[in-house]
Amino acid sequence: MSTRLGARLGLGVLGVLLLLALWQLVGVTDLLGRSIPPPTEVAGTLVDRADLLGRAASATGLRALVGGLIGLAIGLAVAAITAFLPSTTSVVVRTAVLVNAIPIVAIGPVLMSLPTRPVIPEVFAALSVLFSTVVVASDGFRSAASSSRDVFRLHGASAGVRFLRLQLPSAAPALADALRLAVPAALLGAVLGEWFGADRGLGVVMVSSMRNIQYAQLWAAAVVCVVISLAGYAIATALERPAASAARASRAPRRRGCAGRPACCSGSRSRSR
Amino acid sequence: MAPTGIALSGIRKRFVSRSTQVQALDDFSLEVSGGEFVALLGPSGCGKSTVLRIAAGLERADEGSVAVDGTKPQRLGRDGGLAVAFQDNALLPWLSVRDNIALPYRLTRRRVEPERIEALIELVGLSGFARARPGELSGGMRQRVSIARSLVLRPRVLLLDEPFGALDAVTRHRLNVELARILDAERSTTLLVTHSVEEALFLADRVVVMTGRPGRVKLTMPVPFPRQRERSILADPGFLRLAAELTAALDEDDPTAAAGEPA
Repeated sequence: MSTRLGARLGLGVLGVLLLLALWQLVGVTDLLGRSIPPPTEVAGTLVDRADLLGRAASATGLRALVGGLIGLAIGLAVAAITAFLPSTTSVVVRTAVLVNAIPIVAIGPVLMSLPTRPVIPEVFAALSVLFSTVVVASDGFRSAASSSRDVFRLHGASAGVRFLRLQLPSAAPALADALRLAVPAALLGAVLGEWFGADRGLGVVMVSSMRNIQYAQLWAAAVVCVVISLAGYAIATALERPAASAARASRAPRRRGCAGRPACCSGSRSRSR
Repeated sequence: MAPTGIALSGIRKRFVSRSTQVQALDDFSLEVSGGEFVALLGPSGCGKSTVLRIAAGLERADEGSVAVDGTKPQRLGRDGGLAVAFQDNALLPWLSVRDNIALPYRLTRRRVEPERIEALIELVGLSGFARARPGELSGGMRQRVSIARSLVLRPRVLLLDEPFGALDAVTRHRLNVELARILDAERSTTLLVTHSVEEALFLADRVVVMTGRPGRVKLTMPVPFPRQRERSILADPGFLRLAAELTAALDEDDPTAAAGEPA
């Protein structure tokens, strides 16, 4: 098992090294033009301009966090409406699809004409997160087994009790999924928003680097974006794991601590559904 | 109408979807006296579970009257006087065995009685598993938790929807023996939906056989053996004769059996 894992890891590292080598070759030889600098030059810029990139990254990260959290909160609130009023699900999901169908860059110029210009990155981050949150969370709120819902109905549980004790815990894996999807989406939204209007941030660095033909700096900003996105994704995945394992445990029985317990030996073969 | 127990009278139920209409029950009537154990048998799709869901107040009848312990089932369920054990156990996977059993207290806003929960865990043979999650238990153990949860509020009426239907035959019989012992201690009015002739005869005071769809009562058979039956009764000639009669009654509504095809 560990040997297989080591081999897979080795292959992954080898793949990355090959890609870097190819990139280096293309960059050094200007095979595809000067807009693709070699990775060594990008790495050098990352070190030389660490201050600038660090400040830009923290500005973009904060905007992605604020906008992403607002998008998540609105998305969850909208999805919660479908949990309390299931008949609204179709309308809510269709509206979310419609909003998602509007290209986000098309909203930029409209927002720029409003006094809200300074918060365009936050608005873009929130919009980028909204759709997936609504769809995934409303699905999650409906995921409880119908017989579990029957137990709540049988004992006359109120909609609030049903939501807190059944629908919300049932949706935990879906909510963790929504969070995981939200991280890169919020970052992308924030960077795109910064292209339209912001005083600093990775998006601003990218646009100014492009205009000033500072390709190495442009690529360095892109690398920082990727690193932030991967880090956020890793954190969200770490949060998602316990929720997913709880959901798996409910589907596939795991036998633990059965040894020497006669009670365990009865009824091990449940029909799969 | 029985002042205690279950009284269903003239029940009609039709399920309508976009493409089909199914008459599940047609003029179905059934009375279960207080403290009586009735098993409802019938071919697949005859509406057995629909009867149980209507008796539980989870499904509304198109016509007819429903009274459980002289009141509406919804009201009795809210008061904790009515409980259901479902075929798929309906346990909440994120709660421990103890918390799953305690759930009806919380849903009916009652004070949790820890000693009652511990006694039931003991009664269903799950001592030592109180903190386990459903995913850590076998299918049979999960069904026992489900039974314990349905009994926790000392319901006057208990509805069992094929609670062991998903288990293998050996486990199923073992749990039936346990169920008989547990229900004897609790003395609830019980309606069991099953497709097993043996299970119905082993557990019930009376077996009611339904026709194929639309479901009506076809046959009512009192079981002449005293409760707390031993496993040896399965080989009793009287038991086998009754089982053969019930099987024949069921086969009359089963087209595959009439054609001589294997079940």
